[in-house]
Amino acid sequence: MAQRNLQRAKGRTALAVLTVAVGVLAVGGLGVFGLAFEENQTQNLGDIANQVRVEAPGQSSFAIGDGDPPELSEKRLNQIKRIAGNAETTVIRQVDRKRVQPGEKMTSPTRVLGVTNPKATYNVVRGEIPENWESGVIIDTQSATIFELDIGDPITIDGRLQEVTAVVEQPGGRFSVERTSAAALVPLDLVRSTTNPYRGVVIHAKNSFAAGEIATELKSELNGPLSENEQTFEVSSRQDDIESIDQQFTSTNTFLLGVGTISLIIAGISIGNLQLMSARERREEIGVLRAVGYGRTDILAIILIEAVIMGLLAAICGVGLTVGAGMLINNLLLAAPLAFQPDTVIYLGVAFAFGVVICVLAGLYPAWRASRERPVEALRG
Amino acid sequence: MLLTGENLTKRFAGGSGTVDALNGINVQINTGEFVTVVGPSGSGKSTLLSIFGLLDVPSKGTVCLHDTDIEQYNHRERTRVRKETIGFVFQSYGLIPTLTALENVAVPRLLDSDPAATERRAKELLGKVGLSNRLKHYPDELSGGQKQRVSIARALVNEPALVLADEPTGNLDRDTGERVFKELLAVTGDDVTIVAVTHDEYLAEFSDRVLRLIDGRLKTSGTDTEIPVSEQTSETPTDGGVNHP
Ligand SMILES: Nc1ncnc2c1ncn2[C@@H]1O[C@H](COP(=O)(O)OP(=O)(O)OP(=O)(O)O)[C@@H](O)[C@H]1O
Ligand SMILES: [Mg+2]
Repeated sequence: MAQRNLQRAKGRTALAVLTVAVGVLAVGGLGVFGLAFEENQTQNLGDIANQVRVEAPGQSSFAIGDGDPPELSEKRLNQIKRIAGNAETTVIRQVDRKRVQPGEKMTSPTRVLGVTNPKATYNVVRGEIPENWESGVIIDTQSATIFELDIGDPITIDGRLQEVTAVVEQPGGRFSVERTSAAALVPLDLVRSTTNPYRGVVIHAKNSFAAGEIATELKSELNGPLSENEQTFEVSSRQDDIESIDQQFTSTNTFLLGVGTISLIIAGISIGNLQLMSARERREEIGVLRAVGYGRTDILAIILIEAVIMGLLAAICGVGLTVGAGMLINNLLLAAPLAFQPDTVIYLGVAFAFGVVICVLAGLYPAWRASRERPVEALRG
Repeated sequence: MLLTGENLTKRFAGGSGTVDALNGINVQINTGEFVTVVGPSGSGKSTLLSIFGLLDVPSKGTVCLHDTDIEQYNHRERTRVRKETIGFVFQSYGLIPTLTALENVAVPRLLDSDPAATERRAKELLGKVGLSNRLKHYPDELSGGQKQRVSIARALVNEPALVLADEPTGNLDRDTGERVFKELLAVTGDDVTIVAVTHDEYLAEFSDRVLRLIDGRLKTSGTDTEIPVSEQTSETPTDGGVNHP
C-alpha cells in the first residue's frame, strides 16, 4: 500500500528521492574523490615518498665546517641499519677522485662510489646487476656517453681491471646522496676511502608512513642533543611534504563531507515536508483506515515504510550516481575508471546509511502526526 | 439489544462558542433492525453516527454495544471493536485511490494473516453488489454508484454486526441512490443491524424505524416506541449551517 501511495505521487516522490540521492552522492562522491585524490598524490610522489636518505656532513661541496665534522662511522652505520629494520638499504662510500695528470686523456670515470645493494636504488638501463654484487662495474648513462663505454667494456679501477656489467639512470635531485655524476659504481668492499668511511645511506621503507617514522628516529638518534657537533647528519625524507598533503587532504575532505551532510539534511527536510503534505492530503483516507480498524501503529508503520522505501530508493540511486562519479574522478586523477580504493566501500556504505536514516528521520514526525489523527475526521467528507 | 444510547450529549467547544451537537439522546437499536436517521443539516446526525461507530466519545451519557459500556474501552480496544463489529459506509466513499476495487474491499483485512480467504470474501461481496467485472478497476474508473457499492462491500468484509452509513446516497442521483440503498439492504444479512443517515425521506421509508433529529434532539416517529422528549429551554446555541464542504 505504501508503495502504491508513492507511485501515486510519482513526480513528487521522484523529486524527493532525487534530492536525497544527490545528498548521498555528495557524501559518497566526496569520500571517493578524497580517496582518489590521496592515491593520486601518493602516485605523484612515487617512490621518493618511501625513501629516507642519510648523508654524512661535509660531503656536500658547499658545506663549510668549523671543526671536525662527525663521521658516518661503522658504529653509526650499524645504528642506522638497526633503525631501518628490514627496510632495504644502499650504503654508499665515495672514493677520492683519481688524479688526472695534465695532458692525460680521460678514458674512464674519475670518481668511484662503493655501494651495497645497488638494485634497490638504481634503475638499470642496460645490462644487469648480478644477484651477488661482488664484482663488476656499474656506470651511469652520462659516463657511458662521455667515455663511450658499454656493457662488457673493461675499466681499470684502483689498478684492478673490471668489466662494465650495467648502465643505470642518473638519480635526479639534489637530495641524492646516491647521485652518480659520471662516477663508476663498484661493490662497496672493493674500495677504500681515505676521508670518510661512508658517504651516506639510502633507505627504502615500505611506505611513506614508515619512511616518516624512520626519518624521525634517525634525526633524534644521529643529531640528538647528545651530539656536540654543530654539523649534523642530513636526514632527508619527504615526510613534511606528505604531512602537509595529508593535512590539506584531511581538511578538504572534512569540508566536503560537511557540505555533503548539509545537503543531505536539506534533502531530509524536503522529504519530511513531502510526507507531511501527503499525510495532510490523505487525512480523509487515513481517517477511513482508522475507522475500518487500523490502529495508530498501523498508520505509523504505513507512512514510515513509505519513507523507508523512498530512502532505499534514494540511497540506491545515490550510490549508483556515486559509483558513476567515482569512475569519472578515478579516470581524471588516476587515469583508470575502475581504480577504486578499498576504502571506497566504507564511504559508499556511510552514504547509503545516511540516505536511509535521513529519510526515516524525516518521515517520523509526519507519520506520528498522521497516526494521531482522529478517525472521526473520516466521516466529515 | 445491540446498541443503546442514554442521555447522549456531545458538546463542541469552538472559537465561536460551544455547540451542543447532541443534546440528551436516548435510543435503543435492536439486532437486525434497519434504522434511518433524518434531520436537517447540522442537526447532529453525523455526530451521532460517529459516536455509535466508536469514532468519537460523547461528552455526556453512555453508549452500550453488545451490552458493554464502550467507555471502558481504551483506544486500542475501540479500534479492535470497530474492526470486528462495525462496518462503515461514507458519503464520499472513502476509497483508497491507489488500490483496485478488490483491494479496497480487502483493506480492513489487509494486515491480517489469510490474504487468500480475504480475497475470496472480497470477490464474493463484489459479486453480490454486481461488480464482478470491475475487480481490477481503480476508483477513478468507477461511477459514483459503483464506488458506493465497493464501499458497501468493504463495510461487510469483516462480517460486522452493525453497519453505519452516513448519507450513503448523498453523492448519487435519486435513482442510483435508491438502487444502491436497496443493494445495501439486500447484501446485508438479516441479523445485521443498519443505521443509515439520509436526507431523503423517500429512502427512509424503506427502514424499520426513522429517528428524526432536530437540533441535537430526537423526535419520535414511525413504529418507534415513544421516547419522551423532555421539555427543554431552547437556549442551546445550535446552528443550521451546512457542515459538509
Ligand atoms: N469537530 C467539530 N467542532 C465543532 N463543532 C462541530 C464539530 N463537528 C460538528 N460540529 C457541530 O455540530 C453540529 C452537528 O454536526 P453534524 O455534522 O453532526 O451535523 P449533520 O446532522 O451531520 O449535518 P449534515 O446533514 O450537514 O451532515 C453542527 O452544528 C456542527 O457545526
Ligand atoms: Mg453529516
